[in-house]
Amino acid sequence: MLAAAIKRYPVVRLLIDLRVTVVCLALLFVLTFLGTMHQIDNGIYSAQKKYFESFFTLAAGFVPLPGAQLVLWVLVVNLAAATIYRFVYKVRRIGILIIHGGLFALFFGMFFTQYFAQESFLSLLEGEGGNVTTDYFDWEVAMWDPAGEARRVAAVDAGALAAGNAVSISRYGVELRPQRYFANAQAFSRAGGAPARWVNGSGIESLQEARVSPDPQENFPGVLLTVVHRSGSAEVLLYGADVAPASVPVEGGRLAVSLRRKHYVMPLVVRLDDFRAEFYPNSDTPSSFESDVTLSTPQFTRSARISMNHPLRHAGYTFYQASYAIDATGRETSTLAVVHNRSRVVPYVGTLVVGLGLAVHFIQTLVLRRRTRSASPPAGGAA
Amino acid sequence: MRHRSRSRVIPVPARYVLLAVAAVAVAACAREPRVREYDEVVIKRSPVEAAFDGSGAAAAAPAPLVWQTPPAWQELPGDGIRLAAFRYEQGDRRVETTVVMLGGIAGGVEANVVRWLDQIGLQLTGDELAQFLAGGEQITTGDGMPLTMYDFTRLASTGGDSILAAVGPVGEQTLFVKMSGHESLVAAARTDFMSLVESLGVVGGGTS
Repeated sequence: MLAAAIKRYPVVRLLIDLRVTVVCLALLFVLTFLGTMHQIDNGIYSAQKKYFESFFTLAAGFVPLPGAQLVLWVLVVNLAAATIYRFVYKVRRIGILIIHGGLFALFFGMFFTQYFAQESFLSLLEGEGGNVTTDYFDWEVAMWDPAGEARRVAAVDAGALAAGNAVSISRYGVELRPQRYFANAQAFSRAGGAPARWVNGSGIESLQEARVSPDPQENFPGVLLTVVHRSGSAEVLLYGADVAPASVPVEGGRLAVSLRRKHYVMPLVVRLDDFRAEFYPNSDTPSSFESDVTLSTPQFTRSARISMNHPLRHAGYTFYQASYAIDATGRETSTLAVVHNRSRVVPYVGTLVVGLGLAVHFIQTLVLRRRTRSASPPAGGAA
Repeated sequence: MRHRSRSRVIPVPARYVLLAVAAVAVAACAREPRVREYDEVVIKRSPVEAAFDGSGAAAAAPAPLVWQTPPAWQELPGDGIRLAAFRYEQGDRRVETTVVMLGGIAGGVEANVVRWLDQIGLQLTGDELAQFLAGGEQITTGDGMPLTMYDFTRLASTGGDSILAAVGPVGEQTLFVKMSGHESLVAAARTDFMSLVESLGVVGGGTS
């Protein structure tokens, strides 16, 4: 009854239409092609944002197209509606039902990854360790008490300050009031002996707007803000390329305040014990490089090796050997790409379920045809 | 029965009210930026990061660089990323030299040179600027750090201040050594500046 009533509405009829499925698949094909071409000149991040994570996009700057995000949502709704209203629930169609279940698992894994997976990195010198990873693109304003034994950080996304929002940090009893935010800035230092206008860790006197690169990794933001505390305020200048935190005077002491790439906390500490790189003879091209690390929590300690194509997986985190650097003094830094994705296995499960559904459907069809053939009288025969 | 089934349907105006309430709720949530709190564990930080860890106290932290102060110069306390500062005086004239480290390319050499030109009241055409940048003198510190030195005293005299600067990469950061003050004293202190730059070394340097 309900299905029949809902089918009366044109929108619902459209949603369960098989032609919508075909159009969506064709659009995904076109978007994949355009995204691949776009990536050549603009990089993978730009291609992802423009074609795959968007709801609408302009191909070649003027052809309006739905983004892959919208197409996939329509496809999910189409699949769900068709499963509910069009599908014939019979035992002999169980294979098709399993295939649909597998497709839902794939969609679920895809959207969960899109909205909840974290991709970040961890750069460590030999002997160093930490429990935080760093985002590739997003920034935060972080503050902590430099006099404290532990670094207890309170952080707010820089995007909130870019939007002009004042933010209260109750842990330290201060409020951040942004004055101006630069998506990409150049910093200039004070002339010798000139009085400081801004509180800043490196003597930076001013920021200037710089052209924003389509590759966000090339942008270094800056922010001018007022840090208000109970007994006064301070004018603070923060710059993304400035590794020194500003020392901001507040009631009862000082706070270290820094504009830095967003940090994510892991429930474990990763320490780089050793890094090794091997090179092809007479060249600077590495043939292999690998990191020996120790993972530790209060409950356990685990040693592991991470090398190219051999990531380390632990507690929903995957650590890939991404790159390395050797500075002028010979110190080796290993950079690990860190992906935290609790739905990591869902696409594998979905693929298996689809495979199972195809096998069941194939076997059912085969058996059914054989039965039909054996049940039907042979063609011709005695007259 | 008929009346009961009708009562389940939300009237159209009420749907708009519900939508509006939902929109306001979402907007209210969006207006309140979330503050994240976490404890950051840092094991055996690099000398560079250790030196920058925390504010005014950073002056007391070990600097990532070592140097030899020229005999006639007075060393001043560092300040955060301003790792060191020096003063040299002759009569009523003086020059100040700072050693600064910034992350990344720190805006780039050209932008900083243009800024310094502005500080001493000079403007160059595009060709002159390119020529000045290309004319930077390549020097190497005793620790093997390659730096490029830009001598602003070679440019037209302003009768006022001038600058001598050495810039170069140290790992993923950029080192700036800059001397500024009256142009006659900057020129006179050039040899001492060179000896300071050549004496620079990284703490804990050497192959690990």
